[in-house]
Amino acid sequence: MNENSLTARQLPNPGPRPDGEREELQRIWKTPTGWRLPTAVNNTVVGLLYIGAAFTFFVLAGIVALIMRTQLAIPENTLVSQDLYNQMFTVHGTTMMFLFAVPAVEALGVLLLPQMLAARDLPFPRLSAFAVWAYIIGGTVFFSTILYDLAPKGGWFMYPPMTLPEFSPGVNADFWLLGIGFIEISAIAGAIEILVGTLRTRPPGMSLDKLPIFGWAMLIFAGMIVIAFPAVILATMLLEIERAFGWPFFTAAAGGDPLLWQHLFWFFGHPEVYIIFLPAAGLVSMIIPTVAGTPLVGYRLIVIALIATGFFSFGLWVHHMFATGIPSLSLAFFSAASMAVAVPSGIQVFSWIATIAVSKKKFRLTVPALFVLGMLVIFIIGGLTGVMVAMVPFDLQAHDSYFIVAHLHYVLVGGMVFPLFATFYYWAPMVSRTALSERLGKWCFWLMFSGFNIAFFPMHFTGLLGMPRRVWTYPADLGWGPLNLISTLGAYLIAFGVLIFIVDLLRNFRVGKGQNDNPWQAGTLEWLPGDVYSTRSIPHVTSREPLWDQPELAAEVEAGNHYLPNAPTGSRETIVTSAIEARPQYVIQMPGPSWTHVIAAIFTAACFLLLTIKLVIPALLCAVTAIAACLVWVWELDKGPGEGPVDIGAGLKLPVYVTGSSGHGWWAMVIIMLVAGSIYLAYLFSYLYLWTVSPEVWQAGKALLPALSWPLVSAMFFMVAMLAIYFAKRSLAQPGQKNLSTPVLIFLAAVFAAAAVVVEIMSHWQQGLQPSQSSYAAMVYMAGILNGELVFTIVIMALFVIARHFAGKLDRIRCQTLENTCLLLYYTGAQAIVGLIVIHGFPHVMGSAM
Amino acid sequence: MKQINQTNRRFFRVTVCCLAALLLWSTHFGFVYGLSHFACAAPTPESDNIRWLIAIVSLVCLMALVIYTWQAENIMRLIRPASDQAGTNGFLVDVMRLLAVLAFFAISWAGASIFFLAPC
Repeated sequence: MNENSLTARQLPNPGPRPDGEREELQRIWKTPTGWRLPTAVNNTVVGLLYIGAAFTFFVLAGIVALIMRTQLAIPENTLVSQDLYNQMFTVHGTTMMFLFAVPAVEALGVLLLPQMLAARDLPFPRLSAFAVWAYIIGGTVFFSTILYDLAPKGGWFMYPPMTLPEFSPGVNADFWLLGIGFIEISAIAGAIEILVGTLRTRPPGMSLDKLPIFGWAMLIFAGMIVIAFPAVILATMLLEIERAFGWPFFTAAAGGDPLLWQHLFWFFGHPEVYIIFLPAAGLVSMIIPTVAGTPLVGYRLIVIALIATGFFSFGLWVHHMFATGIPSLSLAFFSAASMAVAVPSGIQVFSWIATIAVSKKKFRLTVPALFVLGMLVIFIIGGLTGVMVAMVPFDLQAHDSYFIVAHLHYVLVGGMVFPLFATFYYWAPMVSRTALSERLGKWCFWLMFSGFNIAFFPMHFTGLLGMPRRVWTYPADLGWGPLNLISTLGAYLIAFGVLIFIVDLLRNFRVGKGQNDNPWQAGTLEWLPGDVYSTRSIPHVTSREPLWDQPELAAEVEAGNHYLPNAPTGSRETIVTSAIEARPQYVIQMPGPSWTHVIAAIFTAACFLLLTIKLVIPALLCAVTAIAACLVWVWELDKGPGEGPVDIGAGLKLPVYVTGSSGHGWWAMVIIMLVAGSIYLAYLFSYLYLWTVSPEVWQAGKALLPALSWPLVSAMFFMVAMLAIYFAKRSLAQPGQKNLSTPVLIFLAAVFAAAAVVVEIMSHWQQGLQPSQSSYAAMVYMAGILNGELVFTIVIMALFVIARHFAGKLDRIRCQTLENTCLLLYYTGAQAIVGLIVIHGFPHVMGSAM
Repeated sequence: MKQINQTNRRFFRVTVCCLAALLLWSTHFGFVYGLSHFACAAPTPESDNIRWLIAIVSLVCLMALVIYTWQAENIMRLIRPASDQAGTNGFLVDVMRLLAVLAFFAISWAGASIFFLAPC
């Protein structure tokens, strides 16, 4: 039987299933308990841990906000010192953005996506687990800095020159730069998991036009992380290098420019708003049809709105720099994009309103519905003030005032926090034995909704009266006192609302499965009956709301009548399907619980922490331990064809091992290359930007360019490395045999790649160019650092693949690890050659213009 | 295996094709901003000419979008085999067209700035 010809009534596995199948699934997917709990990788455990940690950081940052509001309640208050206040607003903003908002939505992705897609788990469970542990350790260290006066003071966007060593001595700013850099790694790890998971582990039949809107939102979210986060990764690298070694990227006297930081930061920072908002909007698009009892109006329009918002959000970064003296025509382009992005956001809002309108009095005013309605009100107000500040003349007046504080909180709290609370109440029954309380939920909502508007609406007026943001206190005669007092009272109301939610959690939330599998009568797959293994069998999907359109589906899935009702390889598995039509392609074998990802996370965090306090040797030892843990972790991932092909139902026999562009590992490597490419594009932007700012520095640097033979040798070495790895792959022996030329060629590839980077760096050094001389010199050496990082990774991977060869785990069939090494080396070679052309060619080409 | 690999590689072609309108917007945006930044870094009397360049590039992009919207179905037919076209083709073509409409407005708004503001 062909999977495509299946209708809802033709079951892939009709008839009763053998005894013991369910018990075997339970045994395989069992969650470790007690002191082994940290080794767990099941998405429900990792997702709950992730969201619990994110909520904890939300509460901690909220407490900091309450202290700040208390300080501002009356004029000339001395509750906290000015220095501590500076640390508080920096930690509050940084925690809310980096430790709460992004991790919370990633957590929801890890928790909800496999359930919505009826997958047994996401494809890289240990990567999710690594991400969560890295985030918890890194986040805790960062947040705790405020307790011992080591927190950064430069605001959540840490603008230089204020954050350069002259104005921010000590290690406070380094905690931000290295801490956030580390957490960005965690976010990118999560994004890879979500992208590959959403595209490749959908149930058979769930083509892209049937993907739940939350799945679409998470796809766009993860894609945006891949493009946006690299800009801030590069920015934090540049600033930390300038602070540590004096390379003058941001020092105007040496040809740098503090505005470069703003460009790089906001190229990340503005999309960040939508990175937070889009998944929340996706959640709203899932909740509204259920509480309205009708399918979402305008599914296709919402999909294009999500995609368009994701794109347009990258054209808004100068929206935050209107007051920096950029020419008016340039500002107009960003103003136009700021208004363009309002169109897709509006499409979503109108679709939600239309869905509620067509529900014809079926709309249930439950707690999730209340939070969604509250979100609509708050987000629309935030959106309207957003259009106001998109107008350059108005923005020049409101810039850095409390009007902006009000606007950003209306957008972020309306766009993310209220949907998140709706999510807590809506999806709690999926992971808790009892639902949260409707009565307490209503108290929580009304306190939060009224408190929010009492706290933040007056800030529009405080701002228009001239109160700048981030001031520690203010004189009484300015007349800002009454409005600030009202805002502080509102902040306490919000806190009471959150407190009631915590009480509700403590009273009612117990991890487990409730009696009622689908308490809201929803239409999507996360409400199928399930257990630790997710669903008993993986359903064949024929519509967007399968539980509404196939009323018998839940019983069929639970009886094991759909795909993969067993564990044919005896290990954790799920079905991988094609990215567009969701046709079954192979069965993925996933790793189970392990300490390796926990050790890798702990020692990676320790490495960053020790680097921050300048303990280089212990930091290197931690890095070596973390890399060793990662290598142990991935040693068994490339399992080989083993017991395949296996029968999953409907007459489909699928392989359990694939290579090439079908493999999920290949897809993950392509995404890593996209991340590396984004970092390099941000670097090229920075190089060209600094050239336009200080052409005279480039002119001076041109005189120190090495002879053409140096870059030619470097490029030739890279090409030799690429050829060596190409032939290494072709030389792979048949299973059970070994060909000595394979490890030799792999080794040569790694050596030539490393030599190519050394030659390029040495060529500038022997000319007398020092990286701390000028921004030009710093940018030249930075290219070497970026290539060097990738080559270092390739060397580790090459040694790993050679070890696998000698262990008999590498052959013509079982070659995923070598394929991924090849991909990364090809990419690195291409990037390095582009860099050589720019660094050695650009000063010559532009010589006449300079 | 070869067929599965081809299906997966086709995904990347389809993705680029569906996002072409927004990629064009990104290119246009990068070009007009880059040009404006470069011209105003060291303004000369010739800097005023960038208005014409922006106008021409914007018009070319808008015309490309019109053709793309008109030919969306044929473009999709070219890159997907007939066996795939029954399922999601209508959805993907709609996505292409609707994104093109949004990109059209975004490029028009950015390009229209030259009528109201001096280059530097």
